Amino acid sequence: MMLQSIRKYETFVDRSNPITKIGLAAVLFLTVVLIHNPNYLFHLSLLLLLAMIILSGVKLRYLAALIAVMLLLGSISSLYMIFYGEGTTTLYSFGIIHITEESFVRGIHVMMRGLAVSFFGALIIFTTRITDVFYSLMQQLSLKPKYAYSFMAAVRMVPIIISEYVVLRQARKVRRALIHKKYVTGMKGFKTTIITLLSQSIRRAYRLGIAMESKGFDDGPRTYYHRTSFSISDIYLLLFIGACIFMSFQLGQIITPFETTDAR
Amino acid sequence: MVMDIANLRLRFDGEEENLFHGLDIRVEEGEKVLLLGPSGSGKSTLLNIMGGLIPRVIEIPMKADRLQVSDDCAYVFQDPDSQFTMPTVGEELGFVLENKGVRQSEMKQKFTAVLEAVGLDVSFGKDIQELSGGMKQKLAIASALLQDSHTLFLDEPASMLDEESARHVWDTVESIWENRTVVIIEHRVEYIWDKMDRVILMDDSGGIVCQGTPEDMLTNHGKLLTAFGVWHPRSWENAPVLRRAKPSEQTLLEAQSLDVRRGEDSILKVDGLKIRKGEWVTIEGANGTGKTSLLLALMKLIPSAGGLYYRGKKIRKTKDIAGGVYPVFQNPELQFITNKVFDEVFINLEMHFDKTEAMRQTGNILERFGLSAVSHLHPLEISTGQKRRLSVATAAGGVPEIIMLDEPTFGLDQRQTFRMLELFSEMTGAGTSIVMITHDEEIKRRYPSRRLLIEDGRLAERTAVNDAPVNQEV
Repeated sequence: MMLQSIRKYETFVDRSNPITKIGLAAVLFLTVVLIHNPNYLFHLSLLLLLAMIILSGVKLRYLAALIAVMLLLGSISSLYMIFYGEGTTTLYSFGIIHITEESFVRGIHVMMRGLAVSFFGALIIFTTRITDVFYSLMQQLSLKPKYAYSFMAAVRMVPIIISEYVVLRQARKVRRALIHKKYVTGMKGFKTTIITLLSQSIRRAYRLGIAMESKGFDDGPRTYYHRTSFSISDIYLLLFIGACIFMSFQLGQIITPFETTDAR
Repeated sequence: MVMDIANLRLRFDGEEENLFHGLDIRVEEGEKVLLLGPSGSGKSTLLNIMGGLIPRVIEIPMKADRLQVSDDCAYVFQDPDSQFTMPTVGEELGFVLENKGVRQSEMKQKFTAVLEAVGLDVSFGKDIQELSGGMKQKLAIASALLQDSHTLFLDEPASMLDEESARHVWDTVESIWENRTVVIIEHRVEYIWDKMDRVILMDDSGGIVCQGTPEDMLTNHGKLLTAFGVWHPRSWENAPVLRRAKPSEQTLLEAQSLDVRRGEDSILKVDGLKIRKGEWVTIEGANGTGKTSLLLALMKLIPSAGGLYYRGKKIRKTKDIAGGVYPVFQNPELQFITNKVFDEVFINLEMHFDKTEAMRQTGNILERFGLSAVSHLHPLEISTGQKRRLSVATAAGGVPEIIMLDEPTFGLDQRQTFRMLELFSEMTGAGTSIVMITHDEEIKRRYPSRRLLIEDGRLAERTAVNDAPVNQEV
C-alpha cells in the first residue's frame, strides 16, 4: 500500500475494528452537527487534530501538507457564510458583501465542523487497510462475499488503470507531433481516452471474473484468512473519542476564544 | 481423471460459423499435452471446456455427444494482472483456501508449503503489485497448487515473461506436475517441447490437424507446423535471410552522459550513445534493468540529466524530438487514437501528403502489414497480433527517421514475427533507423547491425554482431 510508505509507526487505532471506526465517525458527525457552541467545537477540532497528528503515525511533512490543504478548503467553505450571512453587528461592508460579527462566527463554526470530521476521517483512512474493512463487513455485518471480493478486486485495479493512463498520455504526446491536434484534444481526445481505458478495464474485469470462479469462488459459506473481531483496541478508541468530546465540553467553558455560546 | 470429449460443436454469439465442427479429444490420466494453433483456433475455449468453465461460468451454447470434463482442476492464465483478486500474497493464497473452507489455523502452513514448491521466497504481506511478472506467475501456480487439483490447465503462462523468467516458470511447472494431468497452451515452446507426452496442432476453425509425440510432430509434421505459423523448436531454420543493415555515417540521435532518474535513485547511466541513419540496433538486458526507461528518457517522457541531441539540436522537451523519432510502446491498445484501423495509419500521413497520396500510402502500408482485411474495424477489436502490427504500421509512413520499438515481436506467432522482421529490414534499407528492445536470442543473434546491453545500471556496447553467420547474407 502506498499509504504505508509515508507512515512511521502503528497505534491502537490500527488494531481496532473498521466497523468501530466507521460507527464512531458517524457518531462524531452527529455530535459535531449538534454542537452549537463554537467554544466546544473549537476544542474538539483541536483535540482531533492532535489525535490525527499523534495516532496516525504519518510522517510530519505529509501531515503538514494535508493540514494546509484542509485549512485552505475549510476557509473557502466558510467564506460564503462570512460574506453573505445575516447579522446585526456590521464589521465590514462592500457592495453585496456584508460581514457581520454573527456571520463571521457562523462561518468559522461551519469551518470547524468540517475540519473536526476531516481530521478524524484522515486518521481512519491512514490506519485502515481497505481489505480489513471488507473482511470485517463480511464477518461482523455479514455482507455477501460476492460484493466484498468484487470490490476488493476493483480496488486492486485502480493502480493498474492509473499506470495505463500514464502510458496513454505518453503515447499521445509522441503521436501528436505527426497528426492533427483535433484527434487528441477536446471532446474527441477525451472520448477516445475513456473508451480505451474502459475497454481495457472491462476486458480485465471479465478475465478476472473467470479467474475468480476457476478458483472455486462462490457466495456460499467460507472461512477467512484474516479473522476480524472486536478487541480491547476498540474499547480504547471508543473511550478516547468519548474523552475528546467530554474534554472539549469542559475546556470550552474555561478557555473561550468566542464570546457567543450559540452560533445559530 | 480422464477427460473425454466427443463430437463437440460450439458457436459464439453473432458468429456465422461454428468454432468446433465435431471435435474429438481425449486426455489420459497424468498425460502432459501441448495445444498449438494459430490465434482464433479455439485453444483457450477448448481449455475452458475441458475444465468445465464453459458452460458453467461462461455461457456459450455448445453440444457434444460425450462430455466428460475435469471437475477437479486449476488454471493459470496468461495475464498476471487479471488473475489475482487480493492485494497481498497471503490474502490471495488465503482467497483460494477460504473458497475451499479450510480452517484459518491451517492456512499459513499450507502457504509456506506451496510457496516453497514453486520457489517463491516472499513474505505473506508482500504486495502482489511489487512482484515481477515471473514471480506473479509463480504465485499463480502456487495458488493453483493450493486448490489441490489433479488437473492443471496452463493458458500461455509464460508468454508475457522474458526468457529467463519463462524458463523459471517452466522449471517450476515441471517440478510439480508429477501425478497430475497437464494441458498447456503456449507460443514459445522450446523449453517444454521435449517434455510433453503429446502435441496437438489445431487449425483456424478449431479442428485438429494432427497430433503425436513431440519427436513425431517434428519429424513428420514440421511442414504443417510451419504452414500454420506456430512456433516449434525448429522454427528458426525457416527464418528469413535478410540483408544486414548498412548504416550511413550520419548521426541522427546522440546522448551524452545521460542519467535517467526515478526520484532520488539513478536507474540507468548512458555514457555515450549514437544512433546513425539506417541502423538496426537491439537493446538487451534482463527484466527490470531499465530498457523501457531508456526509451522513455530518449523521448524526454521521463526526466534525465545530461545532453540529448537530435540532428545536432539539443532536446529539452518531448516535442523537440517527437515526429522525427517515433516510439512504439509495448501495449499497442494504449497508442490507438481513432475508431478505425485505416484512420490510425492515415492520420499520421494526412499532414504530410495531399489527401489522395495519403490514402494511397495508407492502403500500401496496411497491405504490407497484412491489415487490409481489417482496415474498416475498430483498432480495439482486432486480434493481439494485428494490434501489434498496427502499432508498428503507424510508424511506417516514412516521416519518422528513427523508430524505437519496445518488444515488437512479443506474442506474435512465427509467421507474423518473420513478416515483421522483413518489414524492419525493408525500413532500414530505406534509411529508417530501428532501435528495438527484445528478449529474443535468435533475433538478437541474426538481425541487428549493432547490439547494446544494459547491465549494472549502465548501457554498453555488446560484442560485434558478426559472430552470427547463420542465415546472414554479407
